[in-house]
Amino acid sequence: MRYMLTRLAGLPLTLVAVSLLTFGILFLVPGDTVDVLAGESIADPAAKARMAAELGLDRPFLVQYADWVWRAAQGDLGMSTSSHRPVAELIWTRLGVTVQLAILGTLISVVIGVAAGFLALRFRGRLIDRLIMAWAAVGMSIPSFVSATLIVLGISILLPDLGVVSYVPFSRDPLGSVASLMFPALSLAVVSGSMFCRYVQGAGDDIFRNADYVRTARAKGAGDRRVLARHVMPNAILPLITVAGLQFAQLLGGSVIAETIFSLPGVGRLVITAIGERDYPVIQGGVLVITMSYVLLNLLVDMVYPLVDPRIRVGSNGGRA
Amino acid sequence: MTRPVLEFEGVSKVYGTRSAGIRVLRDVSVSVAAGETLGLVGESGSGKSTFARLALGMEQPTAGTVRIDGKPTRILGAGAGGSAQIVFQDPASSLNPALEVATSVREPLTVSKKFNRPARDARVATVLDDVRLNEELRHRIPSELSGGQKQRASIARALAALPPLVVCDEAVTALDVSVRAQVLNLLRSVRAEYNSTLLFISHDLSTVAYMSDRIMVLYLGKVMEIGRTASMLEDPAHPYTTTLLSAVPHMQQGRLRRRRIVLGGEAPSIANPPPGCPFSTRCPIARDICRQQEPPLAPLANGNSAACHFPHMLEREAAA
Amino acid sequence: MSAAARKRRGLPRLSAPPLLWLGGGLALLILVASVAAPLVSSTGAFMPSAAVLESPSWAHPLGTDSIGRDVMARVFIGLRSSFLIVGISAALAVAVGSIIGMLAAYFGGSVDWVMMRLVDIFLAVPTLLLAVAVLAAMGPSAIALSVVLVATFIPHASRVVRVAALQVTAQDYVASARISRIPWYIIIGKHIVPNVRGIVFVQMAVTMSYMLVIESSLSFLGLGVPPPAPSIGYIIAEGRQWMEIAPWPIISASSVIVLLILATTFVGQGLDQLWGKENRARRA
Repeated sequence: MRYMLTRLAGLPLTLVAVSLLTFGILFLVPGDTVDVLAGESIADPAAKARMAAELGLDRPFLVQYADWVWRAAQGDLGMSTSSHRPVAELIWTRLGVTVQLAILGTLISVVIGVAAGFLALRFRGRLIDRLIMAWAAVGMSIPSFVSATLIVLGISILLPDLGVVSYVPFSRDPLGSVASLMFPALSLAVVSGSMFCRYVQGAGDDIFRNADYVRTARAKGAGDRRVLARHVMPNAILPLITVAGLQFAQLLGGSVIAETIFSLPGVGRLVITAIGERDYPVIQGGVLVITMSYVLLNLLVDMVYPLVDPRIRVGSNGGRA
Repeated sequence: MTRPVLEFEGVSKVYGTRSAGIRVLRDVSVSVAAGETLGLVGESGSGKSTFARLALGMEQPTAGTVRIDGKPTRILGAGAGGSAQIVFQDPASSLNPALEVATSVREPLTVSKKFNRPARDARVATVLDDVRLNEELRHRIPSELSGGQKQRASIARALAALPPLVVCDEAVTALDVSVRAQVLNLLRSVRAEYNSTLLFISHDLSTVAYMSDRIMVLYLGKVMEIGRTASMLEDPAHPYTTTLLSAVPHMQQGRLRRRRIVLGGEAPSIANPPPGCPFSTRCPIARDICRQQEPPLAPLANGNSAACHFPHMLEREAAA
Repeated sequence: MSAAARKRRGLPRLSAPPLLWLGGGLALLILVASVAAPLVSSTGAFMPSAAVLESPSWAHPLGTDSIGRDVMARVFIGLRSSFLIVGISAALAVAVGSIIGMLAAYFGGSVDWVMMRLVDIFLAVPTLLLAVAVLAAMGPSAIALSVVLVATFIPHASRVVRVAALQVTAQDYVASARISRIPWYIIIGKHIVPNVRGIVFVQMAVTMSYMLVIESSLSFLGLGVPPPAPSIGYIIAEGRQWMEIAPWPIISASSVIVLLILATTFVGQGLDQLWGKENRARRA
């Protein structure tokens, strides 16, 4: 309980820090901020002053920040300087894609990782086990842009007839939508799946070897497979859910890469495009939305974790005997 | 009479707030003269560690004053008078595993005003000679030494800067019994040589008796009995002391043979001390008055003091 | 320290775990290659030539890119710059993080609380995204990149070192030094630092491996070391355009960066096996 309160207490401070930094990015840009926002160098001082007043840039920093936060809370994230549409609208239409990819990526990572982990446990010592262990060891060392690029490369070489798979909105065609995100999700799974695989191996191995109830089941004559399915699996999986939650947040944050490579119309790519166009309100808005979600998600998972901690659930001898 | 090296004047220590705190030490007063060794006996929770920390100046009393060489520990620093030193229980963690033993021994000298830089190395050599740690051992790191050797190094470190007081906190408890005697005897000889003042803490009464001129028995933060070792052992006043003695077989001599006394009752929690005498819940001879009125620490005929309504009674019964 | 003592102490260190040799050897190999290779054909890395998009040959072992530059030279120069930037940034981040962690552990109480809350805040944010935003705003440069990398990884290092430092601070020899009224900076320098050294080095290797991932991702997005300086991520980004006909830049650059990351990861794990446990369970 105490722990939860401590974590909650840190939340406002974190949110403030993050939003402050996001807002402050605009002022890190070299050159006069008025010029930056206007998109061009304004020579005439009078016109510049007018523009500054219009944009609210003549006020002290903290006031501008407070104003920005206040408006953001109400859903107003300013106007894009390149497309002249509300930033919030631009983000909202793309948020679904980003979230969908993150969900899909996490799901596939978990499925592949856990399946691989159990395969390795089941066929302990055999070739499959070693291959999977190799992947588990190496997987996290591959940057996501590398795996994504290599997958795209692989597709272009192996399936040259496959045209550009563009994203299909979920509302129009759910199945097709998922299919269109398959490769991006796979590219993410290659990297993060290894983590789940390692986790399952570690937890499963531990329980397999040491837990009392496993010994009892074996004493009663249960074979390896039965022990695995009935006893090891349920207890190893529970905390996995929280790790999956963290991974989901991670994928949200890393969406910039995958969306750029696979040309997906998500928030990440919106930010990257905006960087190219020097469209700072969009950059600020996009970064704000993603980082806020990330922080809140992490907090949620942090609070849930103690409830599913294997040490509490597995019982007295779930770990080292 | 020269002033005492260590003085506790009405010292109490409370952890937590005044209203909802744990009173770890309650109104303890004692003086230790120069060259004297005061033994401190008690079980865990008795307050003996807190007593040590207060004597070392690591903590300040909630009430009362602790003085070293006449100066309150509040304002004491290193240097001329210097602070007390300590020999810890665990040889493994008393010395920095990354440093040579001689370097560790040298440490207190680096802030001592008594020894300037050139004199320090000589002093280290001398004190290491005194604890009989030979030249080769001095330049080893702790993992290359035995438990007994490490404790000797700790003793050397404690004595290096000639502190007014040395606290031995269960200094031999972690050693093998055969090594224990060696180290204790070393302590005795070094003590004689330096005329050191020692605060010797242990839960083991026989060790304490071997080392100490006077013994103070603590229970639940209160002094139960305090007095000269010989007379206390021969004729203990407090039932708790009698009980402790009865458990040490080799201290039974001749007509002083006692039945082994086994305590019943429940060990009280220090957060919720019983009214009256703290020992009343377990005392074999507790009466109603014991549970209602806390006995003050009162002087006895033999010159010692005890906090009991019926001093010597259990001893008489047990010896009968 | 006597020679005998040094020798006695040196002995256990030599039986390093195989992982360490693997990782260390790999890293060393890559390092040497990255220094030596460009010397052989340094002009080829920057100067455009007519030999456009060629397949690997003796003249150009990894082929050429779209404007005729030698891919191998570019890859190794990129590797070298990554290694340099990440190496320095990791060292700096872990050094600063260690100091923070040790201070928090030694002083405890409110100092510890404040420092760790600050660390919590940093750890709660998605680093890649913010790095992207900051670098986008400031304009890519090696200095900005380093600053962002260092700032990102200080909190993590401080957390890890703090744990180790807490164990050390709990030891009796630290209490003894405090009783002797040794000044805090000497206690930290003489007692805490030597006993957390192993963990610090492990953390440097681990941090390097993480930084390499982020640095290459950033340069992939064009936010790393500014072009036309070659960097692994940028080479891969460039290579995407022509990947069907000339996949060599992508394949070689990808392999090299993954190998380097693996190497540093293995060095970290190997060092951990060697020094980490020793420090964690360290008693005299």
